[in-house]
Amino acid sequence: MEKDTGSAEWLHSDGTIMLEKAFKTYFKALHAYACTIVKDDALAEDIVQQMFFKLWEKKERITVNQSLAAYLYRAVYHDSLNHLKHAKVKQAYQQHAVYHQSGHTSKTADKLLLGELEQQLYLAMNELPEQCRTIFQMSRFEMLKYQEIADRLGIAVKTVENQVGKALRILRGRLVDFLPLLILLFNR
Amino acid sequence: MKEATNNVTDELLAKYLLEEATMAEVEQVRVWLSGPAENQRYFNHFTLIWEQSRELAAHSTVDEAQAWLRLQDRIFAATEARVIRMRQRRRIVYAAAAVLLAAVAGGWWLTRDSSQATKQLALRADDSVVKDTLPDGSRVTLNKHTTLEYKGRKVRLDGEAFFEIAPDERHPFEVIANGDTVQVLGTSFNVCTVKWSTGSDGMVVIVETGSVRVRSGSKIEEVQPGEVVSSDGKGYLQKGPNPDQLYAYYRTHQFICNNTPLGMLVRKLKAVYGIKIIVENRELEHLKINATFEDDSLDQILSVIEKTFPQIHIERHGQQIYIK
Repeated sequence: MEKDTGSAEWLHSDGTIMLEKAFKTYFKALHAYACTIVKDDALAEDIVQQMFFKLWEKKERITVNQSLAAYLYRAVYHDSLNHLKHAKVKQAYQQHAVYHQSGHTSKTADKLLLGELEQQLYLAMNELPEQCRTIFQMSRFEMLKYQEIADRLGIAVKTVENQVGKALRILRGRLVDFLPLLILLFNR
Repeated sequence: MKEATNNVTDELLAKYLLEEATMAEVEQVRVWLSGPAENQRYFNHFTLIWEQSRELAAHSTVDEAQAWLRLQDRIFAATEARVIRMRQRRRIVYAAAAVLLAAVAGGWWLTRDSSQATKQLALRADDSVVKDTLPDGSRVTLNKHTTLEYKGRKVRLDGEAFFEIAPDERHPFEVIANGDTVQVLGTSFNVCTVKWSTGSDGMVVIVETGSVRVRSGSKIEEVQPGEVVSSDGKGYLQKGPNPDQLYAYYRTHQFICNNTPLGMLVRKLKAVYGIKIIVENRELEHLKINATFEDDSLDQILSVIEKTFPQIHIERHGQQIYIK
């Protein structure tokens, strides 16, 4: 990945974005990012498509001195979480209904606990601040080195270090009640 | 961090875990881990979260090229919607006129007929190709940067468009461009307004099915499928076999070459991709190509050209391509 020197390289001379180049470079990563938040392939694609569509309509302006990747990740983060927020009331009801209808207590305790940790981790990750989440995600899911993340987002390596540490600290804080039991499960 | 003592911070633990730490930092963390059991437990939590979070990874199985086409459809639909909105505004005006006429003429059938005959609309394509159906049922595809005005089976064109004309023997369909006229009964053909190097404005008509009659001043030519006719807007018409199918790219997204000179393909590629291509040896422009490129990237097309002609060598330097 080349160093991101701001959005200038992604803009035509008239200030409009090179849509195809940007789309083909970042679609997959952004789609995966949205997927981890909304947990739905088609919906995630819709969110990413809608974001690029807004860029095309020039409703969303990007400035030359910000990193395009940082802008795109931030937009996907907010759009995805907004979607979750809107779907929340409906979802809460559905989960309530499923919980009471299914005989989920028949599952083994181990599986339940692992599934529960995953669920808790998912919820905890959705509560991470935007930059923290994006950097954690790029490090964990896109397997990028600190230097690559810094280049892509146009930030200092030190910021990446801070944010990954912060992400693990926040996640641990949210999950600490589940963790001792799990260590037992893993070790036996 | 309270638990992370001895200057071992969460940032440092994360670096150690992710193998981003320097030798000295690794040593520092190891010393810390060999300390109180509490330290090891704290680090285990980080490891566990890191390992477990991998389970949440989503991998995009969507093909970005396909996704890009879907985005283009969306943009295309939005462009169409704009054109339709523009047309609907006009329709309201005509509806009002029709109501007025109804009051005067006192007969619905009369007004309906007259509104049909004089129905007008204007279409405009800016940065993307626009497809639409005209009030008489004829279909039209406008290339980018094209305007078209329709009024009762007569259209005025500036730019390039492909027409599929709904047959109606009693009312010939006419395309007027730069003063010249194309008259048709029912057929499909492409019209492109041009500015010739001599400075005069004219047009180029290529027929796909049926036949059309092109008039420039007092001169008239019948054009058959596979033929092309050029005009200069001042009564000069030249007819000949159509040498290439490249004109249809904006509509079909295919580069179709049937014995097409390389020079013509290169000119088309330059226009479509907005890139500089320099053919260093002019003789190479006359080489004939037989190939159809559909949804291929520019690099793929260039590579096919290079493989087809052993005497050709292609170099790419950023936005400039050299054919040698």
